Amino acid sequence: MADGEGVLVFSESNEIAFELLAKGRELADAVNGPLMAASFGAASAENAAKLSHYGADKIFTVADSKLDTFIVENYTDALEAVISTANPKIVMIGQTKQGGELAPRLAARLKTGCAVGCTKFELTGEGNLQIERIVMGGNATAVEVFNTVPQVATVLPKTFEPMQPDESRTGESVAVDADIKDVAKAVLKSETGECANVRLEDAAVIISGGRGFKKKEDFELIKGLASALNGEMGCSRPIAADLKWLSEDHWVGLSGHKVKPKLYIACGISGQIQHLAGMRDSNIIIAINKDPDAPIFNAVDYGLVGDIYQIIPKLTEELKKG
Amino acid sequence: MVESVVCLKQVFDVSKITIDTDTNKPILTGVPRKISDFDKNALEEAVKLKEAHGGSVKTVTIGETEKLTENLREALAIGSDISYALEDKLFENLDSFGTASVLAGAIKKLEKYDLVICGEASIDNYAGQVGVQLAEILGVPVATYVKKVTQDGNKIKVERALGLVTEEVELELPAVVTVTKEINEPRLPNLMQIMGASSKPIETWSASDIGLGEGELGADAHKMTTVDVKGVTMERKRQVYQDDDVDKGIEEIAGVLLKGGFVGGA
Ligand SMILES: Cc1cc2nc3c(=O)[nH]c(=O)nc-3n(C[C@H](O)[C@H](O)[C@H](O)COP(=O)(O)OP(=O)(O)OC[C@H]3O[C@@H](n4cnc5c(N)ncnc54)[C@H](O)[C@@H]3O)c2cc1C
Repeated sequence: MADGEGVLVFSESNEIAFELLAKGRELADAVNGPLMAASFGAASAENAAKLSHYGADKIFTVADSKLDTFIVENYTDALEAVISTANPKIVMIGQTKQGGELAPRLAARLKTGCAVGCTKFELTGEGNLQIERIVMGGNATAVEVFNTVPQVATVLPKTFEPMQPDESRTGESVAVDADIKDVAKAVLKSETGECANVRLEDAAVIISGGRGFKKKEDFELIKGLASALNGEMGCSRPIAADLKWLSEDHWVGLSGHKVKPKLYIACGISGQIQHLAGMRDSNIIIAINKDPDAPIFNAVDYGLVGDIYQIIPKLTEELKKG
Repeated sequence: MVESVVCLKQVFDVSKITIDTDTNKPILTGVPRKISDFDKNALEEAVKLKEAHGGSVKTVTIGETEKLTENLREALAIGSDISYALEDKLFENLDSFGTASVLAGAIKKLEKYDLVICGEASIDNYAGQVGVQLAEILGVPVATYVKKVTQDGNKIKVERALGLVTEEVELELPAVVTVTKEINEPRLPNLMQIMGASSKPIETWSASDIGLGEGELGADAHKMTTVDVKGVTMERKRQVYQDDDVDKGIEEIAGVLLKGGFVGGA
């Protein structure tokens, strides 16, 4: 395969694409290559301008109406066409559930390497991408290098800060003709559930609850403590995914949101490695759990062994006293 | 009738991994191996489809037959009809694409398949690549993060859990789906089923059996190389208050939070 040049960025979410462009700029400059972006569907022309404001030198658009809905097979066709025109060395894709489907499918199509959920990006002496990602359920970090081109890597939202947009920047926009094949699959319905619109990644204080709570209503206790500390509510996977007591934007952990607030309080959460992998970079960690042997206590600065139903009200009261 | 194939990954039980503080490497010796959690959900879903519509359940797993046997017997007890162990020197240290190529090779060798079911991701790597790549190699559609499957003739309808969005998707068979932990509650096999499993077949296939060789799977074909694995350790104060100290602890923690400027102001 030809060597490839520069960095191509794609996310179906503009916001994430802007974040990727910031890191993409650094990598592209380091290899003296162009920073490129792709945008698909009806909004692609409009998005192209925005992507250039956030740093893209060149934007490849595919306006095919089949791309108005995200269907991974169709998006793979489109991105494959863009790559054969743009010939990037590195392809960065936003790690949403959709992006996490697109990146490996694309890589398999191109018979090239793919790394998902990368937390660190570097270049080796030969200019190949070297990434870090969490492995072994959160117990370890693996350092992996790419041996093939293009080098496809996905990035979790909020890993990088977008650059300041500059409206005077104009990137070159290139319309690409892509052969979007028919696929034996149709999206029948897409429903957005109720959400609190919290952005845990931005929160300075997070108070999380787990299965130690007996019923949904009892999360009022978490709410009370969160309000005393100007914090947001978080939770473990079972609370959001199984019990659905809180929407998924509250879900902290390996398969949920990775957060690093100044203060994280875990209430009635056992502290399995997958939960810890999402919050262990917090500045101060406090836990309340009735089981003195709960693994969460290995991960805390301060711990209180006891019943959340008694301790949370007391702590909230104590804080209100000032 | 649904002819299902379930991809089962054998993983180290990640909750039992510790970190060697001298070398900062994870310690794997003595850590038990098990079927990755979500793959059990995949198996459960396949068994349920068979119970509802007839058909069969086959499982494919990469590893050494000897080390796999206990876990594959468990899969057979849960309801798999036959388990394939894919064993070859070339299958060691594969990246995602290599893994997907091996599984696809095995699935292509099967007489017929309608539906391939994988877990949303493995509990060790948590990458979620293999199911998707498998679909690409097989040339069939895929749906990831599936929390509900209903079969209707040669089509399935699935619900995908995409964070705040739930998507309903229809796929023509053959297809690949990856399922979440929430899709079902994997059953525990009873004694009869455990005993019955010993008469079900475990077959071993090598690289040449599935038409692959050094060219596709050798070190030169690896798309990625892992150059280091670093254990994650946590330095924390670990000041834990118990029993009679809890009230004192509440006061002290409140003090820390007040001093830290966490209360009031915003
Ligand atoms: C691949 C994979 C990915 C995963 N991703 C995530 C993830 O992103 N996020 C996540 O959270 N989990 C994740 N999990 C699940 C994780 O392994 C745990 O199952 C989950 O975190 C447990 O949630 P919990 O602590 O709320 O519940 P439990 O483990 O049931 O713990 C409840 C705790 O509450 C305590 N308790 C009970 N009653 C009281 C009381 N009255 N007062 C005080 N304490 C009480 C108990 O002592 C116990 O420690 C994942 C698992 C896998 C396999």
